[in-house]
Amino acid sequence: MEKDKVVVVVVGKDKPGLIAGVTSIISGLNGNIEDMDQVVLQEVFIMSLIVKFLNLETTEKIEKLVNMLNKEGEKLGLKIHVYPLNKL
Amino acid sequence: MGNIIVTSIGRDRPGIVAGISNILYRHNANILKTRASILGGLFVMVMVVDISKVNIKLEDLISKLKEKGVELGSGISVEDEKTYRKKKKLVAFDLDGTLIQMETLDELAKAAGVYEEVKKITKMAMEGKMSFKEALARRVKLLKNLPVEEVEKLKRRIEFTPGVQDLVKELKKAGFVTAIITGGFDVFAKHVAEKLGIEYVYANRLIVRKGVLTGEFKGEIVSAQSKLKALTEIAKKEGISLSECVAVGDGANDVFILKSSGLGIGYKPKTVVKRHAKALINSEDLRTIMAFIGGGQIRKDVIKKLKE
Repeated sequence: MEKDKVVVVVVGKDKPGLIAGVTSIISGLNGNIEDMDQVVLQEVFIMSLIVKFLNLETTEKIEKLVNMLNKEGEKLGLKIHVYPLNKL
Repeated sequence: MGNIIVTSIGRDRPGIVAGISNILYRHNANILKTRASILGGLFVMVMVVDISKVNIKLEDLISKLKEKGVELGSGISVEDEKTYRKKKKLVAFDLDGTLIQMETLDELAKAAGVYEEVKKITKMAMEGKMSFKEALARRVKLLKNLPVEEVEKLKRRIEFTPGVQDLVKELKKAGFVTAIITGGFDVFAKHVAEKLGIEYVYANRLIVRKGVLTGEFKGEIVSAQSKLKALTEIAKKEGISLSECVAVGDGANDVFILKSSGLGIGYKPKTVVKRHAKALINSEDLRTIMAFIGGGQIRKDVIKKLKE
């Protein structure tokens, strides 16, 4: 089952709208956040998520997710990394 | 103004974090800290939110968040950080529609064959066209000559809201004082209190003579004010402040008690209650309340227990 889960790690300068931006993309792709930890340390925004996607087995789908997140990340000034849980 | 704490507890589904955080973003609130997890099949999220630059009135932001919570089908609470951190020590419950799945006055009215008339008066009171006190007096009067056996029969038919036994057990184990404060009747409230192990009961008494109801009642719980007065009395006796109290209720006469206590929880609330309760729960299962009143760190520990 772990193969449909990914870890998403997000870092950037804090401002309103970062969580809204990233999680909207995830829920738009029908991803379900199972665990979330987010904190602001000296104006640095740090967030880690474990997200479960239905039917994420295909590499294409992971690529699509990564692309969309990267695009959003650029807009928001965030570094976003995605790791499939079964490859860690 | 310090930070607010937004808690969302409910059935897990995609879009909860996005839904809540989008509202906060739209109104320029900044999320400082979030912790979310699935515990025992429930999605639990707690956010610490900086509201110093919010671009609408705080109360409007709060109602938008609560509306969203209801729309997402989760329980939601919005508290200021100071009250949130305050340890809660007492929980006061409404009876009908909260601890039990029944409106006892309606059931008595059915047994007496005056249900339609009672319903009309209830409606008038709900719409503010008649005071609670007068509405209660009129409805009880319609029950005149109902045999006491009918009351006893109803008592045996009472059904608890799912999870309520567990909830009260957990509360007692955690050291909470518990109370029932109801505009209903002590014959039912005491029975429920005894079954659940609840210490305080404030209710009204139906007067009985020669085995039938006389159509009169005795008691002071006849308005939203009097419910608050009862809670204040209990709190004073226990040596605790109202901000350390949790109130759970659903109806118009719960408005003051929900507004004035540290955490007011509207359980399947009627419209008027939604505005005044800090927390709204629509779930069938009362155990989610435990997660809301745990406060701070305990909130998490408490939810773990729900797994069992």
